[in-house]
Amino acid sequence: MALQSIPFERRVPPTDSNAATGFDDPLVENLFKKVQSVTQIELQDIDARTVKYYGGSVESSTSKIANSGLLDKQANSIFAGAKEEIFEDGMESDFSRNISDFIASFGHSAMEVIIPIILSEQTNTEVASEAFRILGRLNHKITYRDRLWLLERGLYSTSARVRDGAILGLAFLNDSLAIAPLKSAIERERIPELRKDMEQILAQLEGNEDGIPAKKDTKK
Amino acid sequence: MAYLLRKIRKNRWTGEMTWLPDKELQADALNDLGTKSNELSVYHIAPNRSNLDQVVAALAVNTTDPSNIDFALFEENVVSELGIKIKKSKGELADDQVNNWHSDLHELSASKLLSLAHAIKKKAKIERKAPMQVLNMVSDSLINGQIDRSRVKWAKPEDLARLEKIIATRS
Repeated sequence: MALQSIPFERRVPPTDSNAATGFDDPLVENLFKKVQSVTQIELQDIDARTVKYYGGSVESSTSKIANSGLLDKQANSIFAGAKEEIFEDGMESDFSRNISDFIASFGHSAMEVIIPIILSEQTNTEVASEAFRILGRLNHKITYRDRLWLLERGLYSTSARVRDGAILGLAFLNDSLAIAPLKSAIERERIPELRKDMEQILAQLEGNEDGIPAKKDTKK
Repeated sequence: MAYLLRKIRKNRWTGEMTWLPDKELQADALNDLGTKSNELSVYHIAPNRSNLDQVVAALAVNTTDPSNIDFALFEENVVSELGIKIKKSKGELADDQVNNWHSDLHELSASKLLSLAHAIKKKAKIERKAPMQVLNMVSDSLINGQIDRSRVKWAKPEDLARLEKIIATRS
């Protein structure tokens, strides 16, 4: 999924990297703490706002730690396994369970390794699209800003299927902060059907959709 | 003319693929036509589409999570023109009225299934109900007593809480 060269300008507050890992296994717990201790000292202000994109790959000061470690390996394994699955709207899958558990366990560190995978041209578009939906649905406070940012980036994908996943992810997230990026995406969109879907979600975010008004995630 | 509805994933049927010849079908579209015992489940929709939202709501609560519902709507005669047999059968959703609008396309060969896929691509209306619309439809069906609450498959507390909130605003 190649991305257009666009600077990311929005400034968002840093996410919390102090969360408990939630692992019972002391080996995993210790491993995570080792990684976390470095990130706390050097990288406490790093999050998606500082990530710069060069031809679809992510470069940040955390990337060396994340990409060379166990988390990177685990994330790649989750995405590789997902290629074998057939996804259905509204149905849990091994992929949705794995990626949700991964993010719930490792929070921001998980997002650091997931972002380059999702935005990579090498990732299967069906899997990337599904990942966007899952990220939108996920109820996880710590990574909220990262996920919102990533979903907005997904609107720039060259793959219609991935853009569709990003639209749905934003629909699930239901955050009015996505209104401006969505409006911009509507102007860019060349596929009429997709543009219509975007407009539908825009109406939802603006509170014009029949039913309840746009709601902010209270867990932010 | 009445319609038949088949739940699909819209992006497997629409969109532009630079490598795909015009009027061709993405192979992924066939994932939406998965048969069991050579049968394919469909729902009957009235010519004025008056029961569409009710069917969508019933389909929605048969999933594990609230989501968008994408579907293909095609005229009933599309099936007979392809020589595909259709038989009434009871659906298994949480709305018994919707279950009575269910049929199976049966004795399907691979070539008939492919013909159906092409017919859907060519003639069907491919539509989406967005997640929020679906939540509203489910709320209405619950308020109207159409959906059996005990058969709703959504299990996450936050989803159910959101649903209750919508019901409260709409009832």
